[in-house]
Amino acid sequence: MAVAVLAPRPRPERLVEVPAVTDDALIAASVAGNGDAFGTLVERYDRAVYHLAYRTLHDVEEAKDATQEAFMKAYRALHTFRPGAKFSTWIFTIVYHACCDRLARRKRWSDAELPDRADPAAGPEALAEASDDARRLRAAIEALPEKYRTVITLFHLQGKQYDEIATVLDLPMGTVKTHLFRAKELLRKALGDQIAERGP
Amino acid sequence: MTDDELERALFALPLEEPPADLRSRILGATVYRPRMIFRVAEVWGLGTALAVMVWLSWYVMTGLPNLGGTFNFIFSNVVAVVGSAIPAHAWLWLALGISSAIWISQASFMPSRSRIADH
Repeated sequence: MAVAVLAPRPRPERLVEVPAVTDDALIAASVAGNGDAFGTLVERYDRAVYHLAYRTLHDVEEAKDATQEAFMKAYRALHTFRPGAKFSTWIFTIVYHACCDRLARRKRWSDAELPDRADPAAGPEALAEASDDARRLRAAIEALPEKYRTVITLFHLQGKQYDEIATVLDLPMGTVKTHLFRAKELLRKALGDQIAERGP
Repeated sequence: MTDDELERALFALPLEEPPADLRSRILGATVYRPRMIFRVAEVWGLGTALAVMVWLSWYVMTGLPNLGGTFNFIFSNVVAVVGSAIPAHAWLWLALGISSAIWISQASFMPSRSRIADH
């Protein structure tokens, strides 16, 4: 299968990378007034947070704004962060809510469920992306309905931690699993159709 | 495509590259954000006090008939009383004292760079 060659090795969880300083220590230092500690947290998570915002909103500027808004809210509410909880889940929850607000605002202005506001210009990553398979997979994810796209994006970011995904989306675990199952089915179908279109 | 193949493909997919200025924007809006001189409550208090003062001034100005004449009367009376109470030579000494005070406050008594170098 064509897509399989993309993955030389499986990555069960993207964000588990044994950091030198734990998130909890960085949060404690930030609350104590150490700005550099919060800077490290931003460095650690800005890419993933932006990824989730971009996948949800399909718009570079809005994704940037939502990411900034999420970090600002997190910074202000850092003292309320419960020790032992996962910072990634918390920041994903904040950015997801920010994205939902923006989507609701869009819907108020337009009858369309999700107006196509994808950035027409291909970014440097897209241009540098050598693999057609990766591009096809991205396109298939973009084509998913919003609820499935968000679940698959979080699955992509947080791995098989269904409880974390359920927390971010504020959905029951069963619903998350169902959405994920359907999203995967749709992806498989889309990728299978594309391969079939290309022929043998 | 099997479930495993799809998952491997998903996990191998690189994350979206954030715009170059995103991190600086976030840091500028959080840790490097200039601190406010006044707290929010203080700003509200000052704003309310200012609004009350404006309203009070407006009330007094519109309430008084012939405002210009009233002001002129008060000012000329104050000048006349002060002028008659203080003799002319006292004004001269007062002016001299004020100008001396201003001159002294502007003067610098720090040693010059060359003097510091000599030591």
